Amino acid sequence: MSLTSRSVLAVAVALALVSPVLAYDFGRQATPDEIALWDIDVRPDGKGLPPGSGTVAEGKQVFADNCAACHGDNGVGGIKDRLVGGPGTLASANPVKTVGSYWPYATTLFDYIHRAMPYQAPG
Amino acid sequence: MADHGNSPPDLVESDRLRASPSRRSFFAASAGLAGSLIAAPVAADSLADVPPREDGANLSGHSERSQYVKLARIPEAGPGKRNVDPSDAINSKAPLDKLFGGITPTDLHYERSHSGAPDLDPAKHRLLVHGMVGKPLVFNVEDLKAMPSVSRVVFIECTGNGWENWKKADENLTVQHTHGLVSTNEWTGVPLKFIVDLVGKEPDSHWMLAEGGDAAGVARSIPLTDEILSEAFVAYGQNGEPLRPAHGFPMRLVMPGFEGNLNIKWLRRLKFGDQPWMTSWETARYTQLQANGKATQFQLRMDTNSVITTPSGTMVIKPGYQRINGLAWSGHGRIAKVEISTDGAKNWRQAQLTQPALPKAQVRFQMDWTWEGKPTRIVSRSTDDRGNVQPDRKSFIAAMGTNALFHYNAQQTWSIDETGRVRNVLD
Repeated sequence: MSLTSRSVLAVAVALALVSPVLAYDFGRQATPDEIALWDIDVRPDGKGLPPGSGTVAEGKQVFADNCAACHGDNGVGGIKDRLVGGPGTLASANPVKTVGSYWPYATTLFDYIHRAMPYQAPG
Repeated sequence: MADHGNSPPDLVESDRLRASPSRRSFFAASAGLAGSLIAAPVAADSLADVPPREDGANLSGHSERSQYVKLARIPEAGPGKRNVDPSDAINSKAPLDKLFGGITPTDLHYERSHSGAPDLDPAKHRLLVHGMVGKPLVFNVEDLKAMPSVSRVVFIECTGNGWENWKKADENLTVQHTHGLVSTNEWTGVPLKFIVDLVGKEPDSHWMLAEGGDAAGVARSIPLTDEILSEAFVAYGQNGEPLRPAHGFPMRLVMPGFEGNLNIKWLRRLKFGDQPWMTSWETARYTQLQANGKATQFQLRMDTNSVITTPSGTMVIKPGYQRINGLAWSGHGRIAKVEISTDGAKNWRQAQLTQPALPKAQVRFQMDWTWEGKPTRIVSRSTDDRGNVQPDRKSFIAAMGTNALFHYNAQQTWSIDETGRVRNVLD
């Protein structure tokens, strides 16, 4: 046995001795397939976005079908949060915080709609 | 007691002292008071008026409140939006003016839920812990209960608490309206550090996404500071019993001292990463809009706070003895001192704290006062053991503007007019 391999062996033995070898075991290992089912978060750098594409026209139809009932035909005037408008109001006495005026990342909008909307049937 | 006026207005101080010397010495000795003020006897009645004793109810498996006790939270749809359809409510405020001590009854702990309160089947609920870890794991609630546990009394406060008074003061608000989004319970669960070690978090991971199993899937990015790693825990117990559904059954994150919304309820996922996810709740929702139109993110800690709960908004007091009491709390640590002014913040006296004053828990304070019957303003200010002092409203607004919506911890002033009516005012 060479000096190098003896050193490696010694390190391995030492690691085995100091590793937290637990006398108990909790839970079970998560499988990649089931993690994928729940791993829905999307970061500002795009990590987590699913493959896909769309057009503005398609988006308008999706909005009309799924969102307009609560948020209004053009994102204004619905029974729930206003989504557009408000730029220039944030330093005023009546700031209008919308997706357009206040949300800093497009990925946040995707993540939120994907996980939480429509309200009555999210995901 | 402010509502009932246990101090008859026609009884002067000297008469009261003569009336009950033994009681005076008892109070002076037991409460460590100066001895110049005593609790006067209640208005004249006769023991003959007290109903005779009678058989009580059968013993039962579950004890309810007395029929004479009416306690309830107040659901709201936003600042000032009360008496709403229950489906529109986003929070429900605790009746601080009707509670004693520092622990909130479990069913009255304030609630903030983003898409209702699901009642999850613990047999089917799972917690996935994954991301930058050596070994992603899935736990059920029985796994958690088998792990080493901690129990800790801590306050949880909605970051919107106090949001009624940013721009104006509705004089008809009670302390339940102004400050009812904070409560203190004993929570039991598994230290986050234990779970972190089980999955083998990678050293480069300094952020954790915590996600709920509610319909909204509320998710927050949590910085893994030494403080959070040593104090946070995944709770399954609340005041000695399993969590209530409104509070995250069967498991939730508890983050002592930090924004209520970080204490993710119905916890179903912890994911470790190397940067924040910038979820809706940490960009669009729980950010503080400054006066200049810019917003502050990740202002996570709940600051030093206090409020007088008796006498407080809408109560009516009578001239004479008053026992002022209230609650103080700080996300920085332990409350070290509470001072009370009964002359509109000109002069201050130190209140007694009901011990033990626990770190990051509400503590009850009290002080004796004689109201002379003249209009005045009463206000409390707390100081924690890190030296943080609750700001007066003018300084607070000068620093924060009036649009921040969250993290309002300015001193709360109650005005008292010549009739004894107590009102919510700005300062």
